[in-house]
Amino acid sequence: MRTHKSPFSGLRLATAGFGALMLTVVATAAATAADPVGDDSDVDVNVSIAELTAPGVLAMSVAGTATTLTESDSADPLVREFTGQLPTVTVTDTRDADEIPADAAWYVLGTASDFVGDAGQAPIGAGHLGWAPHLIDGGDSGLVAEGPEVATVVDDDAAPDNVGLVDKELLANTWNSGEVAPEGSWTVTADLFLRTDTTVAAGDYSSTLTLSLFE
Amino acid sequence: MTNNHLTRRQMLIGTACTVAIGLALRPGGAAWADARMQSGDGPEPGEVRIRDLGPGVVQFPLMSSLVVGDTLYIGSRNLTPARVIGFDLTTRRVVSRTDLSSGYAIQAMVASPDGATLYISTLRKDDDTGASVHQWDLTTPSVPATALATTGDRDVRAIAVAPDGKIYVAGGGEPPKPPSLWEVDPTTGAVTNWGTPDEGASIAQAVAATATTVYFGTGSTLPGGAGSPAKLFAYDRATRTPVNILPSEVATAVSVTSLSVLDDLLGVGLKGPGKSLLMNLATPSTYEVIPQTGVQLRRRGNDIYYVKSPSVATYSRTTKKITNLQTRDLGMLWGLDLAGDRLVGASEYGFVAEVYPATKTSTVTELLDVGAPADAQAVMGIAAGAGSVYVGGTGAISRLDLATSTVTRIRLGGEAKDGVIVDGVLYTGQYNSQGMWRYDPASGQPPAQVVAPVTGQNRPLDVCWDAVNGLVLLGAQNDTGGGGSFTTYRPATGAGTTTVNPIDTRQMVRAVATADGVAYLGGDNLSADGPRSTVVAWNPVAGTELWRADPGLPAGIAALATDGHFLFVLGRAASGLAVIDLASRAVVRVVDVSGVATDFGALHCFDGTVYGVSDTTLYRVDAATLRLSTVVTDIDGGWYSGPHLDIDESGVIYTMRGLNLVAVEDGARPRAIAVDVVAEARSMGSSMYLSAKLTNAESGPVSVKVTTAYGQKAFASVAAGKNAVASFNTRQPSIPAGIVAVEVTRAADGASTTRTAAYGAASTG
Repeated sequence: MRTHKSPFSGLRLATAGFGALMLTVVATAAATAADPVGDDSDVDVNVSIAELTAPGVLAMSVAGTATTLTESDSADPLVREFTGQLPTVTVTDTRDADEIPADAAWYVLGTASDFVGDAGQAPIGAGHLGWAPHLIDGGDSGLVAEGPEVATVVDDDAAPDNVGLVDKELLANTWNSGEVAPEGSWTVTADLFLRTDTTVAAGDYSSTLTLSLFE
Repeated sequence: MTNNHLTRRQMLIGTACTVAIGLALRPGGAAWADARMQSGDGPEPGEVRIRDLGPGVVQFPLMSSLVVGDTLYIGSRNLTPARVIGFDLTTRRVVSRTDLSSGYAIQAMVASPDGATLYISTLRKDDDTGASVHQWDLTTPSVPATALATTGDRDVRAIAVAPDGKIYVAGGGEPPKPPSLWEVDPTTGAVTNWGTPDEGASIAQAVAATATTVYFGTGSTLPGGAGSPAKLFAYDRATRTPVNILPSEVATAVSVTSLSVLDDLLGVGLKGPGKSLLMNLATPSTYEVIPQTGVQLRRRGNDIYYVKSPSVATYSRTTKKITNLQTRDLGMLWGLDLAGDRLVGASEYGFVAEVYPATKTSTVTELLDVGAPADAQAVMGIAAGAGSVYVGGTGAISRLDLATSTVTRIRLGGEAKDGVIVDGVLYTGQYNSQGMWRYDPASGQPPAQVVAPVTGQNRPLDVCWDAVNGLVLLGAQNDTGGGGSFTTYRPATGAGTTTVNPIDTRQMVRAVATADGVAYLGGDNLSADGPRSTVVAWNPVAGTELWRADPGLPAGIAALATDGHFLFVLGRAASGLAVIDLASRAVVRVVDVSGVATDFGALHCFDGTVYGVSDTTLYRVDAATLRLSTVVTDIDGGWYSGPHLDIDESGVIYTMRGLNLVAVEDGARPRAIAVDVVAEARSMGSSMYLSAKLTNAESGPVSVKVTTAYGQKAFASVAAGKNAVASFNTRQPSIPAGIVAVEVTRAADGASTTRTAAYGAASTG
């Protein structure tokens, strides 16, 4: 397998909260503490914190805020392909059974923005980015499923799933939150692949992939 | 929220960045669009569990009606005991009832000349030695009817009274023995045989009498093609000498189906030529043709009324015009009489129809609403799947919803002789001459015909589903001409095909089975000569024969089943279960089924086990070892025309025990694979997803392949006690109900099965 130095090496994939929260996250990640002004004044502050019991929480975390796609062999000479890996996504559920509605079932969706060039190149639509989710640890019961592979708009097969990550696509879901909750946490990743035609302008591009946890 | 495509049921819980907030959010109260199969805990290994699901079809099926005075008397069909009820035409209530000591159905009744006595005749089973004519004193209706006479023919299909009170009876029922004309003395019950004027006839469906003459109409049904055409004999009552007076114009008719004395005319109904006759009683060679098939001809002045299913028509002798009197579907009226300004008859649908010719209006009274004594009837066919069990009755099917245990009676003309459920939709073969029908319980629409029968192919026998080719398959019999037919229907396109006599000109298609896209047709032959157990392998798409074999079963074929490796061929008359190796096309074994089989029967294959049911016993044959064992003894199903069974997606067997539907869970199934499959449509993001879950209750791993309309997913190994969940994006905001199919293979022995699970229609938002 050939490995190319990618003209898209600067591509960033940020994981962020849903919708508008994404901007906040990016800003927070970039911010640093302000320099202290004047003399330090130490004040002892004491607090005693009891261990959390209830309510438990259903939550999602991502092991990283960026990933890079690098060019790989394309099976189609008319297509350039750039691949990478979604940072591991972890869903945790610390709720007790009686805190979970009987028919609740959590799921994680992902959607990507268009790839924007850093030097005024035309953007690459999010439909060019596809993924193939894979469970890393789906739990012992087998009640967590990875989402279906979503290929891109340049894949010539007219299959209905070849739409890219334009809309919200399923990364993983559980059959039933209450039944799997005792397992505590689950991890999933996804193979990411950007496919463009060969006329795409060289340069660095970036997109934001937003992951959201629902129940 | 709209641009987030969230619904009330879907709440954003948190994100990688907002873990500290928002956890008070909970799904709303609405449940998933859930079409889980309701299944309780299965039986223990080795245990056979039988659940009684109540009467199969409860209704008041009927087969005759007659107006006497102000009362419409109605004769039952397939109820035990057979019974007659009196429907008061003024109050429109059922006001009287009598039960008979013999017979399973009442096709003909007539009143004495003074209207005081009702003569009631019966159709009887072969082993019924009771009376064929009963009498009921209408002046004391609370006193039950009594037996009057027993003729030498099994069935009575028509009865008439002469002005002097003598009773004349026509019928038959035991071909090749020809039917006789019988006279019954109303006082003594003495029976006189007036002879068999046509030795080639196999049925007599019509009789009428005047002071001087008895008219006796004959024809043929079974066995196919062997009998005479229709004849109409005029018997001089003084000499008892018959003369065939049927005009040569209609000499090729199949049968005389109706005779009525209409003042100076004889109204003649015929099967076959598309004509009815008005013959001059004094000079029968003078007649007038009504250019339409009709029965139960009645007369008022120059207007002739008759039953033309599913309506009533009138023929004007003045204008020579035919007028249809009803657009309402009346089904088959089993009687027609003039009562004042209206025509009255009882419909196969279970109501009394009163039709006003002057205005072409009608009034319908459901008999069950006005006191008719409904009961569980002998049933026709059965179909189970997608959470429903259907049982075919007379003029109706009943649907048991397993989730709610509710039973719905669905009006459907004729009799559903067999059926199959595909994607939650029922397909039936409808007797008589109604082809294939479709009923979708989710549609809110009544059943509708999807394939009309080819002329003469009147009796559907077996229905199954070819999942490989996406075809409903139907085998049928031609009662009058012999032979049979094979019909395919493709639900995806609505296209239907019928091949007449795919086996030969004498063998009907008694049974149909399918595997790997090949249909197997099993023959049976009611005539004395010719092959009777031919099996034809058939390409149902190309409509071509692939090969044929004959296991030499001496009494014909009763049923077929296949597991894809063997074809199991059940012989009639308990003559054996022949096992044909589909690779070599050779009979590799004939299993002795004499201890469990009787004559007719049904076979179905599930998980490597062939299940069979006879009149007495539910049994199984291990498709690997060919070992026969009994599942339920003394099941004694209340079938009208041969036992049936069906098996749902979970492997639960449905059949009849007596007149009640039963579910049999066979924990002793030799190669049973213990898995459970459920499917749900779920709204996630902008579209509906389809999720399927398999639970492996085996003691070792299984491999799994999930197939849906929206994609496939395979799991190489699902450990014992664990699950596999697959989710598919339908990319639609709403999806119709459907099924997922899950192919499961047990690692330990390679045994495999395909389970299906239904999901309901659902939409986002």
